[in-house]
Amino acid sequence: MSIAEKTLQLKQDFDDVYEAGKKAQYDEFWDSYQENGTRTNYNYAFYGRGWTNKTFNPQYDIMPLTANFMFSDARNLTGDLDELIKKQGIKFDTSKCTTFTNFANSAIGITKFPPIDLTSVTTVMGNTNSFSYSTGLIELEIIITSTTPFMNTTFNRCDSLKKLRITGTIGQNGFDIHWSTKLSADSLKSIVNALSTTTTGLTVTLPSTAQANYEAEHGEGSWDSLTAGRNNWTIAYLSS
Amino acid sequence: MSNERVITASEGKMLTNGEIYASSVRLGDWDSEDNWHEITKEEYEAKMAEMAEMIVEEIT
Repeated sequence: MSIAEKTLQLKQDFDDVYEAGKKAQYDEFWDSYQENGTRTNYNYAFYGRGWTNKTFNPQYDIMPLTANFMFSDARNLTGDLDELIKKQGIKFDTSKCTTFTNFANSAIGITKFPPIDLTSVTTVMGNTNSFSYSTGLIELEIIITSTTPFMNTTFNRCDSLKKLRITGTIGQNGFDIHWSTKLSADSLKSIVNALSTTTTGLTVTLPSTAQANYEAEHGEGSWDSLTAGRNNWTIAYLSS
Repeated sequence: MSNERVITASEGKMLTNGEIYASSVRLGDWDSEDNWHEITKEEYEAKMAEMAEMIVEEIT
């Protein structure tokens, strides 16, 4: 082996050791941060501006029991968080999570979350400001039950939201999505179809653009037809 | 045409039932016009500003 080859080999060895060290540090950080995969308290876990797409690479499934402020003010986490988590090869499951207070408040760069299962939330405080000021959010799926509470600030200023899919039934007051004026016809249909047919005395707040957006795709009169089956609900229309 | 009962706020006004605000309302079959009244847009905006301030305070 020539001196040049030996030098090159030496450099490669140094690089390998450096990379192995980095990987070990990374593993150790996430082992500790996610308690070797047993962490359930994710309050403030990814809060703030220090988290970026480069630093957010959790190693274990994320299955919180509490998720208050979890992504709040994470302004430098951007784009499709669902994809980012899938790339990590981990699961994101909130089905046992009881509280999402300020979950993504001011997470302005995130365009899509993994499906958010709200079925274990039992108090309205647990759904306060959950997506408030998620101004970049474009796509969201929520899984709910008829007892899932909503606060009128749950979707405050979700101005960019176009695709909202609701799996389950809205059976509580407080569902207010009037800021989301760009909701697609499918999203509006998903909301209306989710409204409970058996409850009474409840009000839902939709954007003033709802009827026009829906009828642009389905034709005049289609909004009345869609909502006719939900005469048990008062529908408030509001401009943002 | 459906026999929906719809109420719409007057120019420069908003509707409220004390909890919810709207520019127009399709009343549910349980609901009554009497449950809704008008407030000025300024009053509405003051309420919204108050709400926004509370939300921002939560994360600061």
